[in-house]
Amino acid sequence: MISQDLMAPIMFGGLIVFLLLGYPAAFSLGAVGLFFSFIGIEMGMFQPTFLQALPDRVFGILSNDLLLSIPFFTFMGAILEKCGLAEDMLEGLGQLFGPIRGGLAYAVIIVGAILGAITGTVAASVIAMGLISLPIMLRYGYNPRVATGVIAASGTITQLIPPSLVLIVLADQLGKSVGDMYAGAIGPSIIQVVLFCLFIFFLSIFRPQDVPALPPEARPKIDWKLFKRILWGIVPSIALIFLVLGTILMGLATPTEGGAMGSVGALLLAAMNKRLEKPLVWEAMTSTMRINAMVIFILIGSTVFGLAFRGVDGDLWIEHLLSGLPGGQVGFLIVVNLFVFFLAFFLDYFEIAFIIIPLLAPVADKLGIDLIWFGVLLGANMQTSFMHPPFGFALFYLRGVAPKSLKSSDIYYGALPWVGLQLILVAIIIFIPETVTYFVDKPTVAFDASGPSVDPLAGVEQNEITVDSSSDIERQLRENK
Amino acid sequence: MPKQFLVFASFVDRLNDRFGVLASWMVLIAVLVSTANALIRYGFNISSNGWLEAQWYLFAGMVMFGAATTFRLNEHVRVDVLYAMYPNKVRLWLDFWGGIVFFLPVTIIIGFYSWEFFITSVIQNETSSNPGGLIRWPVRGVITLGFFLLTLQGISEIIKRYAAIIGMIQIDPKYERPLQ
Repeated sequence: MISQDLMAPIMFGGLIVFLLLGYPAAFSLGAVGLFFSFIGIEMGMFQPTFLQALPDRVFGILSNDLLLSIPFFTFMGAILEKCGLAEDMLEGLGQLFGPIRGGLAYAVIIVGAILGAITGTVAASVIAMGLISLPIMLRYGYNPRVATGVIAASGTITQLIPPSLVLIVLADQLGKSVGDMYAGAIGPSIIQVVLFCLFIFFLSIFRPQDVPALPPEARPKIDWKLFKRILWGIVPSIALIFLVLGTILMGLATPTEGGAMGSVGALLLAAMNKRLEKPLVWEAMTSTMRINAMVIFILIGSTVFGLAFRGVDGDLWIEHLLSGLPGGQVGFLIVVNLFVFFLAFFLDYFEIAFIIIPLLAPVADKLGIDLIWFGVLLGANMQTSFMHPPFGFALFYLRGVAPKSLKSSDIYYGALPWVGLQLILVAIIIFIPETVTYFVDKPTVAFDASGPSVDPLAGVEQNEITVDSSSDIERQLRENK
Repeated sequence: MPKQFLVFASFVDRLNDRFGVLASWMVLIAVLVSTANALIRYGFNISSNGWLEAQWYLFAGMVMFGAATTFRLNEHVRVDVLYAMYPNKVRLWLDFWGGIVFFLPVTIIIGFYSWEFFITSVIQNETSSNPGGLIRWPVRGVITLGFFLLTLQGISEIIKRYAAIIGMIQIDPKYERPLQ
């Protein structure tokens, strides 16, 4: 018979093995959870009634108003993405910046940040930039490694810049308000864009042949028409996104309301651009439905896993492992970040957020770490999961749209400096927490993420899952032991 | 393997695709309902708990009715570090055994307990504790039905994988990670 102390490490190891097999993660997670709860029940570590808690948890997830903002923001992004927005911006800004050295790269970074705020999907940004900017950059003599690196990296800015889905998921898992999370991510997003631009700037000084300016004959006339085109392409959607984020940050709207109104706004914008057609809306609806089902099912699977993992005292095991680290807060953060960086080689950020964060958050809290800071930090860290060769997601999409003549090894090597830059960002956030808290500390209007204030009871249901560790079921589990 | 199994599988596929269409419409309807709720709250400073709850009833619907068709389309995310390297035959076997060992136990067990919940809810005529809230059993029914549909889809996928392994049909087990 296995010693009870070993159950948690074995279960965690089992999780990694099962996930690596490659069966859809949501169901592997659920299966590991169920399997170990049967063993736990056999060993008398907890009561059989434990399983009856599962539908209650599923119900808790589905009745969570905050999670409803996930399909809304996905839908908004899907509509805006298909409006041809990226094309207009990239061409316009590319022409504007083209004449300076590294100009095309700056254009990509800026468009990446804007698209990130608007569409929220890495794939969309990377594909758009890979199709439009990459051929131009290659034609005018950019080093292919620089060209692919800057595109992949700029695509991942999406993950950190509000209203990123990652931040919503993290806020939910950490039991914090999404508004604060968004506010906390503003500083790091800006720093990231600056870091990227600085890197290109240094390249343009030290290796000018890598990032040449457009030759005179390729330069368009910079005139009012060009500006008009850029403005018309960008301004309406930026205005929309600021409106949505602004109302959320100021506490006027919940993320769910903001996402819903943003979606309607996106439909109106598409109509203004005469692109509102049935296939576009239908495609946005179905892809939103599928992404949403996928994400929520990972959450359901992780919940089954998490419940059983706590049943076998996994949370105590993790706490024990991590709270004894030397170096206090900083030591803890460095180890956790290395751990997440390593996991990001295998797992998607949703899996990391749903499985790992609930285990780490209580420990971080006990060490006196601000959870918003912690969440944004991990968000920045998880960005790198898109950039690791050879499995990084952004690289994978770029490979899909890059010309066949471009070598895969160029894409992989091209990504490395940018992974480095993202790690610098992580280090900056660790050592200067003000980069996050500066934007949060300002007293915002008291804001309740759980729903409109007229409906106090809606919050009760939500707390069931956000304040996970103190819920009734676990307390019973402990008392039963 | 008798042909009837495949007939059953394709019946399940079509059924769940229908539910997928329903789930997709729920996305748009939820957007409109939520927007209306928000605007009415700003404009008239009133809000209805019933309509607020309708939002997450729709959310439950889009998740539970959409999960099966998402599974059929192979869009539930996988950890593809090893999977990407498997030959097709191995992928088919993995999905076959995974379906039996991982998928069905999860959907059947959670589905079973959801059913108990649903029945209790119907008997007690459970309603929302919010004033003006909705009755609860329909949404519990949606969850139960969702797990039932998923179980059917799991069986359908197992049948199809087995048929492909013994060469009755061709399946291309290609997998692309869902857009993120």
